[in-house]
Amino acid sequence: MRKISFLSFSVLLFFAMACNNASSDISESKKSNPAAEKNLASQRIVTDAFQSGDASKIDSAVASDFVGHSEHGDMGRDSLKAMISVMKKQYPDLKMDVLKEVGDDEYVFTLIRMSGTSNGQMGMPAGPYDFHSLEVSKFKDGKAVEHWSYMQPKEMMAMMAPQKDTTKKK
Amino acid sequence: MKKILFFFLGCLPFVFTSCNNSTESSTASAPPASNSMAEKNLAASRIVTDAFRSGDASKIDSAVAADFVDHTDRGDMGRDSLKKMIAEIHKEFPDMKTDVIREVADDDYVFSLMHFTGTSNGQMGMPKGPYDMHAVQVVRFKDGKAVEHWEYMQPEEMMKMMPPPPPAGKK
Repeated sequence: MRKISFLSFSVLLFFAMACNNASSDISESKKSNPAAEKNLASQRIVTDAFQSGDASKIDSAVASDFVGHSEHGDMGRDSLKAMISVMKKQYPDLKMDVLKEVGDDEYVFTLIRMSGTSNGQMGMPAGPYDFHSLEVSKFKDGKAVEHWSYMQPKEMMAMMAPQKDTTKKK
Repeated sequence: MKKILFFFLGCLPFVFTSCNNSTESSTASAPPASNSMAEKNLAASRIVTDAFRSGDASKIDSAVAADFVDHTDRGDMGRDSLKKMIAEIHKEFPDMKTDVIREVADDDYVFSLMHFTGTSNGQMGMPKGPYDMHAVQVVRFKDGKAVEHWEYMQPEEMMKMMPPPPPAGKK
């Protein structure tokens, strides 16, 4: 009898685990998913680095073979670190408000509102800016392996329009 | 002892059931009760995705609130405009393939990362020819129905789709 209950118990465990695997594809619960929590924590290290300009913790959150996909081409972890300090230097008053972050065991989506004043460097027209950015990061073993930045077409076009004017005035 | 066995056997169907439920609605394996709102939001989000795929907007009212606001690059639009757009997009892009790469939800929001491929006839601001692009649909929910939507795109892919800017110096 004892054997049977042990068997039942292991069967129960097995199904509970199989269930975890089966539904790991899409998830919403960061509280009950340790892998998702780890990914969210790593993503926060990156967000914090952009806010502070301090890239010293990046290696703990970003894999060595990380690829950041940007409109200027793909970049690696070292370029990411360089960008963190360049951004802080060029946009010292950049304010990043995290409006929402959701993650599962492979992806984290972070919706951020960026505001501040641009000095006209790095392709951003001089003057105040206020736009949203959606950071999509893919994780493996709790570290970011890929990243894409998404923007609202309307906000992107608004940022590009004044630039054309500057060129015309030249 | 018999009681213990019954307890475990009784648990087994429960695990099965909860597993089935969460797999059906493709949500996490956490206790369904704590995720019911997120699950409901995901289900509503899928009704909208399916409507865009099929061109059939008849189920939209069950997933989208009457006071829904769609924030687009052409201004804010309501639920009726959404329905019209579903039919229009299906008509203008009949071979559009929508792959949902990932959906993640919580009690308020659903994020859906999508990959669109197909051929454009040159309508609706999309250059003629094949297209291959990504978008993230950000949808805010209230009481299980969509109340706001924003579309996010990759700047790189967006710039490819836009007509080249006029040469500098020329008007």
